[in-house]
Parts: sequence; structure tokens; C-alpha cells
Amino acid sequence: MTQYVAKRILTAIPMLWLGLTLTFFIMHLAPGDPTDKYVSPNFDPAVQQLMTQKFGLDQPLYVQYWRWLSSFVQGDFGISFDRARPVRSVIGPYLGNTLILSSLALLVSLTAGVFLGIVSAMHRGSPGDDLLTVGSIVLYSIPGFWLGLMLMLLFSSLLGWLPAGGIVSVNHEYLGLGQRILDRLVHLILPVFVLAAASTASTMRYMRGSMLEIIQQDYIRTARAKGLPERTVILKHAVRNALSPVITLFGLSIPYIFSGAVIVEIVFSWPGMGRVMLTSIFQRDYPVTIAVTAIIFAMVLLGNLLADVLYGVVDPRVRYGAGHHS
Amino acid sequence: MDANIHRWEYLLPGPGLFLRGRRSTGIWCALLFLVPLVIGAWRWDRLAGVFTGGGAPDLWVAAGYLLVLLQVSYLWNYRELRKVEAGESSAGENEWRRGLRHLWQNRRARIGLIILLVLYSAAFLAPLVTTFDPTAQTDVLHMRFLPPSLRSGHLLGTDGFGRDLFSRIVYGARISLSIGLLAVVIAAVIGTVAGVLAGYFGGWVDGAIMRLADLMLGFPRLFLILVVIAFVGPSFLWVILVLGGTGWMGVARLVRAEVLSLKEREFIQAARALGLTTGRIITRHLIPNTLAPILVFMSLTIGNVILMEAGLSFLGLGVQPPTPSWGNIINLGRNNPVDAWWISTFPGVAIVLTVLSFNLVGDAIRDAFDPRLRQETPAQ
Repeated sequence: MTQYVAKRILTAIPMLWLGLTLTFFIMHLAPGDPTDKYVSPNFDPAVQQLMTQKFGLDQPLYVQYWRWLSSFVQGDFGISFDRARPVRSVIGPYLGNTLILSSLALLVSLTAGVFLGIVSAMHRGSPGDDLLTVGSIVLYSIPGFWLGLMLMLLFSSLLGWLPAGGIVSVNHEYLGLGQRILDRLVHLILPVFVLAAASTASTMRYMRGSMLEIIQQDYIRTARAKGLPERTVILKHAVRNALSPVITLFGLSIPYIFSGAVIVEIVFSWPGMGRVMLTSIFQRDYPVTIAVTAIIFAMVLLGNLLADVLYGVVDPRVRYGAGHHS
Repeated sequence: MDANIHRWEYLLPGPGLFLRGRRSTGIWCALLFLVPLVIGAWRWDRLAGVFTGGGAPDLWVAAGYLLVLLQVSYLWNYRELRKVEAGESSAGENEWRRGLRHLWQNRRARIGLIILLVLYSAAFLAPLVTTFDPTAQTDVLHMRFLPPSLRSGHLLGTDGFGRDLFSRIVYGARISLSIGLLAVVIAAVIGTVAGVLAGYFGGWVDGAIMRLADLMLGFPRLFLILVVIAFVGPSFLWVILVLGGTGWMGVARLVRAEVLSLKEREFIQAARALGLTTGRIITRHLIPNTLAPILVFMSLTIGNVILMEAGLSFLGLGVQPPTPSWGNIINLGRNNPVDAWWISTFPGVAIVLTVLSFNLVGDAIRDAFDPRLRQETPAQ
């Protein structure tokens, strides 16, 4: 197992390198320049030249690439062009916020999707199943940003039940510990719901299909025939086997969650990486853009690895490492 | 011409079928014939511009589209009448026609197809079905933020610049629907070429193409698109190219798998033995046999592509205002979410309807063209 994980991490490194190199060259070859904002009547033309030298942008591209790569592998993300602070301190505070939002959304979508999928498959053909099926198609046809706006309009502006955005209330500092936790949770409800909505729908559909396939198998009939209660048949025998394709889907849905997070963060004024990334792209803040890209790529690769490992846990037939009997 | 079919039945599509017991076909056929006529008569003042030479290009397109609708209703009527008279059954139809029939028998797909027909018609007929210019700003002080009402003529209200929201949504349909379709076509073309090359030639070509596909599949697509669009600048063309260029991997995998199995079949072996050139084998024998899965893939992904386009426009990275697109109208509406709720709400409804219809049709196409599934779920 350890050997397998190590091997996977080693093969992930060239992928990460290729992705980042591509990003680096797209970024540098595209029109626009980080020093464009110094071209204005308020600045001496020499300022732009000075800034270009300071950022090292006057060097040939391969020199810049080499400089970036060599400091990057040493864990140095460089200095933000826009904020004149180390990139690490620019991104740091936002990373946690995005991780909370995305991991909660993943958790919610996985549990809700699996649960609804089982319910739907168990009552195949019933009105409830129809409702869930149509509901899931509708749910993944709704653009996340619009769903967010509409829920905000309903629950914050009209009903006043939930906050309209942000991560904490204005008076957060003056609350007691219990109320602080509650305050944070209340701010999470809408963003997590919106982010989880679409992937809940697709997880549900996969789980339903997978369950329907499994309960036609012979061993399920055997389990029923030997008099096991239906509950045990479903939970112990069917669900566990039906889960394995869903776990793969879980790995594949991680990129979608991160993409969705960018838009959800904008809609709910959530101080996360998505917003940092967008501003850095618009400001042509190369070091920040590439650092955010690296973090997201790394998280996606880790997520895929996690899904593969989970796959082995759920399905004992899958054995990693030196497999002779595969 | 059949002796049993009256002349008036050719002239007026619909009623003849209705009287012969094909009720729903008759009604739909009549609607397809009458609606373009009514629209043409109602907006004759504008349509006349085509004849006097003062028509804009999109008026020409609209007029042509009306004619196509009329023509289709005639042809459909004729075919169905012939079928009723000759007592033709569904035996002997080819795979495509059978697939289409199954598609139409699926209730959800039928609803989706009708909504899509209405939406595409609205996009084509935009100058005829709207009464206000989508970009004209009149008396801003008095005309802005008008709520939806029948009396003012602004069915869905006006935005912060006093522009009619209904017109903007109808014209915005052009952007969303055309970007969605074109991007998916581009993705399918790139994917087919990549898949055929990988599957047919194998070896290092296969390795390189599929590694690239894996690499691109692993990264968040929207994120990739954001980076590229933000750096090359937002425009109609770039949005299509980037959406298409990041969506080909699924098609490539499907086509590759299909080609790998086709390659070993006798008819390909025979084609090779006959000395056909590689190019001819690929274009005449391989690609036509992979069309069904490609079509299924396209119909299942177009909804997602439209959602992504809307997301880009929403972030200000799609088509730029004042050209309306559903995403950028919603973005504009964020400034006044409560007192002008209609600005963000209605374009969103349009997006949901479009994407939902594509998804319903896509699911049904997958079922219709996959014979294994067809037997499991009897037509509703």
C-alpha cells in the first residue's frame, strides 16, 4: 500500500510540472503586462522601466522560467507583484477558507448523494423515485451562481433568516465562543448548499444506477433466500459493493468542486482562493497566479489519490502494490 | 399524388392528419404551420424590409427561418399522410430513424425538444418576436427599473439603463445557444481526430494523445478556461475555442475505444486487403461507425458547456456588454438584487430551461441509441 502511494505521488510530480509549465508560458506569452498599471500620466515613464527590472521581466523568458522553477522547487513562491508581500502570506489566510468550503461541500454531496441514491433505488418506479430523478436533472441544470443569487434573495433579503455572504458577521468579535461557532456555521449554509447541489445530483444518479445493477446479482438473491432481513441485505451486501464506482466519481468530482468554488466565492463574497486567483489574473500578478494554480493542481491530484486508496478500502478485490493475482 | 388524399389536405397541414386519427401529430403539424404565419403577419411591417432592401442581415435570417418552418410542416404533413394511406409500418426503418422514433416516444425528451425548438426559434426570429431594441437606451430616468408589466409593453421589465429585459434575453439566447453548439462541435471534431489517430495508429501516437487527455481531465476545467480567457481577453471567438479545446478528452476516449474494436472487424480488414488508402479507411469506414457515441456525448455535454459559458459571462469573461448574454445580464442584476429582482431572475430561468431541455434530450438520446438500454426501459 505504502509502495503504491509513493509510486502514485512520484508519477504525479511530472504531471504537476507539465501543468505549471504550461500555465507559466500561457501567462507570460499572453498580452498584458504586470507593469501596465504604471503607464499613466501620474507616473514618470521611468517607473515602468524600473518595475520591469525589479520584477525581472526584462530577462529572456527562459531565464525567468528557470528562476521561477528553481525557487519553486525550494518552496519559495516569490513576492507578489501587486501587494509587494511574499506570496505565501498573500494566499495563506484564504487557503483555509476555501478548504473548509470545498471539503464540507464534498462531504455533504457524497453523503446526501449516496443516501438519496439508495432511497431512490429501493423505491424504483415509485412517485418518490420519479421526483428524485427529475429533481436531480433539474438540480444539475441550474447554474450555481444563479442558484446562489436566488437563495440569497429569498433567505437573506426577503426572509432575513440567513446572512447574505461573507464568512462572519460584523459583530463576530464581540460574541461568545458558542455564538461564534454558530455564526460561522450560519454563514456556511448557503455557500455549501450551492456548491454541493450539482455534485449531489450526479452522485445520486450514479449511486442509484449502481444499486440497481447490484441488487440484480445472484449473491443478493442468495442473501435474501437465506432469510437475512432486507435491511442487512441492502446495507451490508448491496451498498458496500455499489459504492465502488461512486468512489471513483468522487475523485473525478474534486476538480468540479474547486471550479465551482471560484464562482460561489464571488457570489457569497467568501474570502477564498477563487477570488485571490481572479484578482491576480486581472492584475497580471504572475507569482500569485502560478502559486494558486500549483495549490489547486496539487489538491486535485491528492484528491484523486485519496479516491483510489478509498476504492481499495471499499472493494477488497482491489489490491495495490505487487499484485500477482490480478 | 395519392388518389385518397384531398387537395386541401396538402395545402393546409394538420387537419387532414387530425381527421384521420393522428390527433397529436395533426395538432403539432398545424401549429408548426400556423405559428410562423401568425408571426409573419403580426410583424409584417418589419418583415417587409426584406423586400424593400432595407433589411438587416438578421432580418433575412429570420425570414428564411420562417420559410423553413413552413416548408418543414408541409413535408412532415405529406410524409405522414402518405404513411397513413399506405398503411406503412415501422418495419424496415434504419437505425437512425428507429432511434429518433424512440426519442420522440419518450415524454421527457419530447418536452425538452419542444422547449429547445421554441428557444432556437426565438433566437432566430429575435427581430420579429421582440418589440424593443435590446441595446437602445431611451429616457433612462423614467424608463429604468420598470417592473414587469403587460401595460408598459416591457413584459419582463427594464434594467438599470432602461433597456427592455425581454428583448435582451431573446437576443442573449443567440449567444448562449450558438456558443454551446459551436463549442461542442469543436470539441467533438478535435476529440474524433485525436481518438481516431490514437486508436488506429497506436504506439507512441496513442501514448502521447492519451497522456495529454489524462492530464487535461485531471485539472479543473473551468479553472483552465478562466486562466486562458483572462489572459487572451474575452471575446465570442475565444470563448468558443477555449470551451471546445478543453472538452475533447471524453470524445477522444470514446472514439479510441470504438476504433480499437472496429479495427479488428472483418470489413476493415477487407478494406485494407483491397488496398484502400489509410485516409479513405478512416473517413469512409471508421468515422461513420463512431457517429452514434459521438452524438450521445455531444447531447450529454452541451448543457454543461452552456452553464460554463454563462458562468464566464457572469464573471465578466464572456461576451462583453452592451451585447446581451444571459450571464452578463445576471451579473448586472446583482447591483440591485432586491428592488429590481427581475433582472437576475429571468435570464436565470432561461438558462435553467435551456440546460434542462438539453439534459432531458441528452439522457433520452443515450437511451435511444444504446440498444442495451432500450430493452430495459420500455417506451413510456
